[in-house]
Amino acid sequence: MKKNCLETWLIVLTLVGLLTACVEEIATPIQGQRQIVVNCLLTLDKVQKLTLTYTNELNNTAYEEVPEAIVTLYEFNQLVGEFHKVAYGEWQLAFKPVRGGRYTLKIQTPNHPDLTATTTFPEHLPIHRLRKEDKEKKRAFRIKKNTETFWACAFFKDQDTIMRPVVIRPNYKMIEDIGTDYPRTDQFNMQATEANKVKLHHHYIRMLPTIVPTTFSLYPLYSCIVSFIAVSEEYDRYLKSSLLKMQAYESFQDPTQWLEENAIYSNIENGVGIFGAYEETLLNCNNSLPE
Amino acid sequence: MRNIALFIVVFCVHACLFAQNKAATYMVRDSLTQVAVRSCRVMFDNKTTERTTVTDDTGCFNSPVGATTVTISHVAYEPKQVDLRKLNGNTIYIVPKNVALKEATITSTTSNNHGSEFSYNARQAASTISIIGEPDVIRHTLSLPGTSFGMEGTLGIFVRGGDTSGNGLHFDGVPLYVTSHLMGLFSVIPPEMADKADFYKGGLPATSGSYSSALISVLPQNNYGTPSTGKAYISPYLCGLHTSLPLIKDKMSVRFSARTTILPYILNWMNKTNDKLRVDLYDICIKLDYKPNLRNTFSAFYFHTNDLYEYTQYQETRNNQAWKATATKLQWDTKLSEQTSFNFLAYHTSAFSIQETDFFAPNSSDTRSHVAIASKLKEWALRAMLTHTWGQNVAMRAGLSFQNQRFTNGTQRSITSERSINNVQTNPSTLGAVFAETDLKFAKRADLKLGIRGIVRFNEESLPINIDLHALSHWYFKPWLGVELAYDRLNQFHHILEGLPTGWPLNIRIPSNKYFPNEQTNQFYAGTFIKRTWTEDRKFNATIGAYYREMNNLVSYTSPINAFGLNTSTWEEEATSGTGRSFGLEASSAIILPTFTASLAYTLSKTTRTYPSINYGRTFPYKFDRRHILNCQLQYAFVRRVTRKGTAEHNVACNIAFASGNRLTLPIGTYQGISPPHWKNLSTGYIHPDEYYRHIYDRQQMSDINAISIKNYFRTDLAYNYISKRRKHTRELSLSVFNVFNRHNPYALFHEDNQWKQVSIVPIMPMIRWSISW
Repeated sequence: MKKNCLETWLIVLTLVGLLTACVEEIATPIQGQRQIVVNCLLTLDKVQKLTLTYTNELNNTAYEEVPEAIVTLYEFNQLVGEFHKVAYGEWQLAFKPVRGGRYTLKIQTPNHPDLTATTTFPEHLPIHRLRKEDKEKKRAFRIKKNTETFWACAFFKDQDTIMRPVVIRPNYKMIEDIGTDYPRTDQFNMQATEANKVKLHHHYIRMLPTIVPTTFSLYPLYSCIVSFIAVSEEYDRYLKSSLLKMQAYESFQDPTQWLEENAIYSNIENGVGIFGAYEETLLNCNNSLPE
Repeated sequence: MRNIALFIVVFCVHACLFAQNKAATYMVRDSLTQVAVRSCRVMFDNKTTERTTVTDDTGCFNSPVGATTVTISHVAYEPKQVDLRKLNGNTIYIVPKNVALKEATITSTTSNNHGSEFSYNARQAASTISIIGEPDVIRHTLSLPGTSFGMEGTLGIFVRGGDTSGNGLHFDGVPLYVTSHLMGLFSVIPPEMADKADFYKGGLPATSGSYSSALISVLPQNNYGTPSTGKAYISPYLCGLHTSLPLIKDKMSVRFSARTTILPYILNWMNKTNDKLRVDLYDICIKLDYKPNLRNTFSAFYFHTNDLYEYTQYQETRNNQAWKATATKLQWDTKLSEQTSFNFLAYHTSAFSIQETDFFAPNSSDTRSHVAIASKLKEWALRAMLTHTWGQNVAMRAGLSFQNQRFTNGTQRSITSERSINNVQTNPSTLGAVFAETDLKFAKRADLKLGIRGIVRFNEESLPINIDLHALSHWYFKPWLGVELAYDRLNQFHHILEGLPTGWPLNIRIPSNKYFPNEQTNQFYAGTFIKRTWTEDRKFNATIGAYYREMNNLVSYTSPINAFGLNTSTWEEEATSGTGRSFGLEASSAIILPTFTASLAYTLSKTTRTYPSINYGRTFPYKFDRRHILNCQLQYAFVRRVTRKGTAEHNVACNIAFASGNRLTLPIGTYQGISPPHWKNLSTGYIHPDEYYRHIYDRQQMSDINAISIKNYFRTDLAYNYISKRRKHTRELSLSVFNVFNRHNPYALFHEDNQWKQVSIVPIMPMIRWSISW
């Protein structure tokens, strides 16, 4: 529907005749203050990564790193370790989180208030692919009762492959438009550009919690890898707000960009960025070969 | 014994004579509405030294000693002769004349007000010059103190810091939930049917409810078999017809109004491409009034408004946005006695809006798929009310009302021959209310209006009782100088998720529930007023006062990305509940002279909002928190002469509007982000704007919500009117120019191609309108 706002505006502008919006250049209205940026997504890997930089002026992406900082991680308010700088703006900590764990990040820098953020590592997503085929010879997915939002996307493979473990190879392409009959999805990224895509989501499907076990399908799926991502609440909001922001600028000359005021979610106190967590479940979906 | 009896008789006769010879105060009231009638001419019989007098602002007059008979006359009422000796009580009721008043040139630009309530008519509303040159009774409220506007030229009306959705709009007593045509450019109320408009910012009536900010009540006049009148008009945007016809002389009349637009026909004639534009814009209003006898009146009312905008791109898509509303009403008023009357009202109102897109199959115009988002509200209600007066100083209204609403919102996505994805939610809401309201007058020193309304929402498990309270009092130090105090507590049992601030008709309407409970407002106002009247055409009034308002359970979109319409059926995911606060100073003044009128309104205010999910829970300025708002309206009739065929008048009008700029959230920097999962596995070959790619790996650092105030708003409008009155008809030609200096008032700022730019909506807009009335 957002993409059709151009036509909507054309209607408005045509109808009122002389009522044409006037666009003109002006001087810079405001300058922002530099802030510290923290980006850290906890995973079940043995090493956790974090970036620590400063904000920059608008559209200047040469970010300066924060040279000195003490970056500590707590689990249920117990110190589990301190990040160490490994590259320009990049820090690491050898630590593996646990599902359901409550984590706090604390960053101390000279001459700046401490930055803090908290997140909860999501529980394992109780989802699997059914063995039995349906009438259309497709195999559906089933998820048990789940109280958290999760995301889904899929990647085309050239051909059926047997994988253990399942990995997404560089040549696998993400399915551009993906659909589902899951009963509760967020339609924020259902932007139809063609007649056959009105029921499809763009790149990802944000699936809302379900209180009852649910069987559902994804389409169009041929030989592919399906990724289900359990996310912490903070990362969920960050991801959605980031995608919404991108969508606003997807079309050329869409005048609704003039009114765009969306803010990217951030849970960093005294800074910006994201401290979240996610766990990915990859399912290898072959047409004929076993997984 | 006989002497004693004779003495008693003589004493009684003397007492009676004495009673007759004593001066007394009487009040003149409208026999139908019980409203006191001022400026009545009172002529006493020849036995008094004082021959005539005039009733004052409260409808009262003093009869001199010895007066036995009076004759009451007024231009709008039937003359009445009353024997004061036989009068029961001190109230004289006069009957409205069954003659429609000929339209008189009223150069008044002022509204009748003390500070909290404003009353005006369509002619006065015409003093506010609009973009399309049409008189607009709703737009006129923007020239009054305490109101802020949204997008320039549109009908987003923010009263004392409240949302547009918190305003109630009643047309002949029926709530309307669609208020504007053409994306908010002008209201759905035809001005010829708006004989009286009451704008309540405070001291709201307890006889209606379920709004949290202000009430605009527009009333068409009742005609009972009056001679026929009519009006036809045309402008580049609108043409319309209004007529009032008698069906039964002195008993029954029907009024009809219809408006539509001819602009799309012009545009389609100019269009030489295969793309098509279709516009259906019209409103129809029919009112039937019947007075079978002096005690009973019946009224039926029907109103329908429709907007449809369809753009078809040849063999590609068809986009359609439409909204409509319908209101019907039956009403019965009966006088049970001189002091008591009963009113019964039944109405049905509905509103519907839809945004949809049809995608065509390749190289054809056959629909291949369909996407739609729609919102519907249906409401019916019954109300019974008793009104009773005790003498001149006490009046009371009490009654019951029952209101049933059905909210339906949904989305649909379908591909031909496949199963569609439908997500439709229907939510009922039933409200029962008991209300009482009293008007008290304390001689000429003070008056007090108190109202209470108890509301129960039957759809909730616990059946809580919510109370609306209203208090409005005036204290007169002198007849022309006084103080006004007002308190209001309001409850609104539905939420309207506002998109664009234009009086946007495509908003989603939802009932309150346990997650988003009813909106509540508490408001205080204190001020002083001056109302000085020398003659009917020489007046001066002024008000100055301060208000404080607290708002709870306000609902807003979490993300402003929903401004153009809800993109998801899961609206709960997109909405959040919070509070608001507003306080300010309001001042107004108006002067009326025979050929010149001027009015001034100024507001100094501050409004904030606090939502847990917005701005990290920190309080932020409201988007239309305009610190200063100043409106000035001037009208001058520079030629008014009698010609051989009638009279001719030329007058000019000027509006000056100044306001602090609205508030924005702007990008102030860039920072490193985390790309969406597996973004490197995206297919290549698509081309998007540079800004799109920047948001993959980088993020915009935004300012605090509404932290930036845009450049001040300033606008000057001019209008020239030529009115030619002949014996049988009146012709009027209006030329107006909105934003005569073509000032580019910015509405939004944005950053593109490394350059900051501003968007201004309305340039200079000349307009012409011609009308003929009879």
